[in-house]
Amino acid sequence: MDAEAVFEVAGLSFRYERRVAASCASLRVRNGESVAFVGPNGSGKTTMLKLMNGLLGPFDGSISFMGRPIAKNPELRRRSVYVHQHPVLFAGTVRDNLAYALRLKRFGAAEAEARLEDAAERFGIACLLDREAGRLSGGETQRVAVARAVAAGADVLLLDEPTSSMDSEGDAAVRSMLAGLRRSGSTLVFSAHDESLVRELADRVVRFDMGRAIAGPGGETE
Amino acid sequence: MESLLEAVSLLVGGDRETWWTIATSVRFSLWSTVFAVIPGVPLGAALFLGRFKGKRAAVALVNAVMAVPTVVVGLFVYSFISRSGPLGSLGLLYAPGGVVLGQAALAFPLVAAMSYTGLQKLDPRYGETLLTLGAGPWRRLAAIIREGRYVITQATLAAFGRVAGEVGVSMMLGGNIRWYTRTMTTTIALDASKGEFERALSLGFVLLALALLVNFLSHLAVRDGR
Amino acid sequence: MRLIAKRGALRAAAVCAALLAASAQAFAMGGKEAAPAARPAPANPRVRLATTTSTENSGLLSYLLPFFTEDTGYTVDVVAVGTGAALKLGENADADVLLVHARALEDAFMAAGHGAERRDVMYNDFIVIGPAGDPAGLEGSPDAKAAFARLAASGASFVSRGDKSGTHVKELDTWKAAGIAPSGSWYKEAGQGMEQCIIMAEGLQGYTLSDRATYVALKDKTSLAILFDGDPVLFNPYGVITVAPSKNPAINADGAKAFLDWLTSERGQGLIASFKLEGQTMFFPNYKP
Repeated sequence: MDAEAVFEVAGLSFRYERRVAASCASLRVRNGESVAFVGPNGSGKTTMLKLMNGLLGPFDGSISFMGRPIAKNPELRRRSVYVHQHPVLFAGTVRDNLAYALRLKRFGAAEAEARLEDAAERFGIACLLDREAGRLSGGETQRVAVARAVAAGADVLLLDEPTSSMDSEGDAAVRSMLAGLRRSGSTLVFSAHDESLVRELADRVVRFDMGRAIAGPGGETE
Repeated sequence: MESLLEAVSLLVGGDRETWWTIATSVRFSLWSTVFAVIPGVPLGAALFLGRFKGKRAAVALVNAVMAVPTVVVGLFVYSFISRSGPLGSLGLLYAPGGVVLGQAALAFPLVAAMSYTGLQKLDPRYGETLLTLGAGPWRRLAAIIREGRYVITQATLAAFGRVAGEVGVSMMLGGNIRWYTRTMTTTIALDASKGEFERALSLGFVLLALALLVNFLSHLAVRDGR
Repeated sequence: MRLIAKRGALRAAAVCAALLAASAQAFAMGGKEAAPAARPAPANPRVRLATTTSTENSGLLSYLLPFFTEDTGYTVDVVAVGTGAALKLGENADADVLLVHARALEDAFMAAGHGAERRDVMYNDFIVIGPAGDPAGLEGSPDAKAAFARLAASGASFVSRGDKSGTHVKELDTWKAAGIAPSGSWYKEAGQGMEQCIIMAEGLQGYTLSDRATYVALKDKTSLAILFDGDPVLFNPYGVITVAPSKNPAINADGAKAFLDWLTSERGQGLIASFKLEGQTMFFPNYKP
C-alpha cells in the first residue's frame, strides 16, 4: 500500500457481453501524477477510465481510491470526475451548468458563487458564462466540462480523448488548461491518440491492447 | 347505412347519454393514465438506471405482465376491491374508483416497459455525467425523466389509448352502471349484444377519432424529440 | 445532442393540456346534467342491485327505477350479470339486493345465510324459438319434455346459454326431465347472454330457449319464431333477495329493504304489470304477502 496512491488497481477484469472488455493486472496512480492511456481504438482505454470512476460494473478484481474500494466510496464522487470524449452539458447556460454541479456537491450559495467565478476566471470561460451550453464549440465544451468538474471540487480528473475533434485554437486552449491543472497539483488520467499531447502532459504512459493494459514505463503494470 | 346515419345524428344532435358516456370514458381514462404514469415512469426509469442482479428478470416480468389479458387484471383487482376483499372498505367496486384502479393496474406495466425501452435510446453519457458529478439516485431519476420527456409523453399517450379502448376491466369493475360507470366501450359491448348498433357505431367513431388523435400527438412527440 | 429544450415539444404539450382541460370541462357539464333529481336524501342513497340481463335488457328496470327513485330517494346502481354471477356478488357482499330467477339456487343462497329476506316478485315464461320452418317439428308438442326430446332426436342445432344463468338452469332441468344428456355437435354451449344466443341461433338457423321478454325486445332483429310455449314448468319466477347486512358493514341494508318492500308493494306490483313490450305484458306480478 502506497500512502501517495490515488488509484490502485489489482487483478481487474471486466466482461461485457461475455468478452473481456478491459483487464489490468496492476496499476497505481500517485497523487499529482499525470498518466496517459495509449492504444488503438477498442483497446479498453475508455472502459478502463469509466471503471475507475465507478461508471461500469460489476467487475472482478479490485479498484481502490484513496485506499478504499471504489464501491460506495464517498471520496471518489467528491474528488474525481470522468469527462467524456464529447462531454455532455445540460440544457441552459454555461453558468447553469456550473451552478448545477456545485448544487450537487451541496455548496452554500455564497461559496458556490465564489467557486463559480473563480473557475470561470481561472479557465478563461468568464466570457462564455451566459452562452447557451448547446451552442459552444468542441473546445469550449471541453473546457466548460472540465471547469464544471474542478469548480465542484474535483482534483482527480479522468479524461477521455480531451483534445479530439476540435480546431487548433480549441486544441491549444484545452492543452494549456490541462497543463495548468497539472502544475497546480491535480491528478490526471487521460486517454489520447495524439502523441504530442502525451509527450507534453504525461509523466507516464500505459499501453493498451486487446482490452489489456500491457506496459508502462513506470513499471507498475505487468 | 341507416344505422350509420343514425349514429352520426346521435353525435351531431348532441344526444345527452351518448355525450355523457364519452365524457365519462375520457375522465376515467385520464385519471387511470395519471395513476399509471405516477408509478410507471419512475419504475421504468429505475429499471433503466439501476445496476442490480436480477435486472433482466425484472424487465422480463414487466413485459410479461403487460401481456396479461384485461379480464385477468380485472379478476385480480376484483378480488382486492370486493367488499369481502382486503380493500373492500374503500367502496371502489362498481364505482368510478374501481374502473380507474383497474385500468391503472392495466396500463402501469405498459408505461414502465415503454419508459424503460424508450430511455435506453437516450444518450447513455447523460446518466454517466450525472453520476460522475455526484448526483444521488433521486436526482438522477428526476433528471433522466426530464431528459426523457418525449419518451414519457409517448408512454403516457399509449397508456391513454390502451385504457380508453379496453372493455374487460371497465365491465368487471365498473359494472356498466348507467349514469355512473358506463363508458364508451361497455356501452358498445352492451348495445352490440342487444343488436342495437347505432349508438355502438357512433361511439366507435369517437374511439377511432381518439385513437387517431393519440397517434398524432405521439407522432408529434417523436418528431420534436429528434 | 438532445439536451436543449425544443419549442415544438412545448407546443405539443400545450395542445395536450388544452385537450385535457376541454375534456374535463365536458365531463363537468355531463356530470351536472346527470345528477339525480334532488330528494330528501336517505343516509346512503345508492343501492346496488345485482340482477340478470333479462330484467335490464328487456327495459323493465329502466321503466321501474325512475318511479322507485321518485318514491324513495334511492338511486339504484344496476349491475346486470347472469343469475349465478348475481348470487356470487351477493355472497361476496358486492351487491345490496338481488333480483334473480333460479329458485333452487336462491333457496341454497338463503339456506347458506347469505340473504336476509327473499320474496316472490313476478314471473315471465320461457319459450323455445327456432327457424320459422320448424325443421325439428316442435310445434304441437304436448309438453316441454316432449319438445326437448324431439329437438335432440332431430339433430337440429341448439344454442345453450352455458353460463349458469337462470335460463341455463331451466334448460338443463328440462333436458333432465326428458331423460336426455345433451351433447354432440348439434349442442352449442355459447357461454353468452341471451341476446347473443338468439343472434347465434339465428346465424345457425337453430333453436334456443329464451325468456319471452328478451325475445320480444329483439323481435325486429330476428326471424326466429316461437315454436313451443305454455308448459307451466317453463314459467320463470323472479325473486328479490336482500343480502344479509351482517356480511359486511358497507352493505346498504336500508336501501335494499326499501327496494324489496317497494317492488312487492301494490305500487311496485302494479307498475310491473303495466310494463308492456309490443303491446304484451312481459312480467306477471305474483307477490303474496
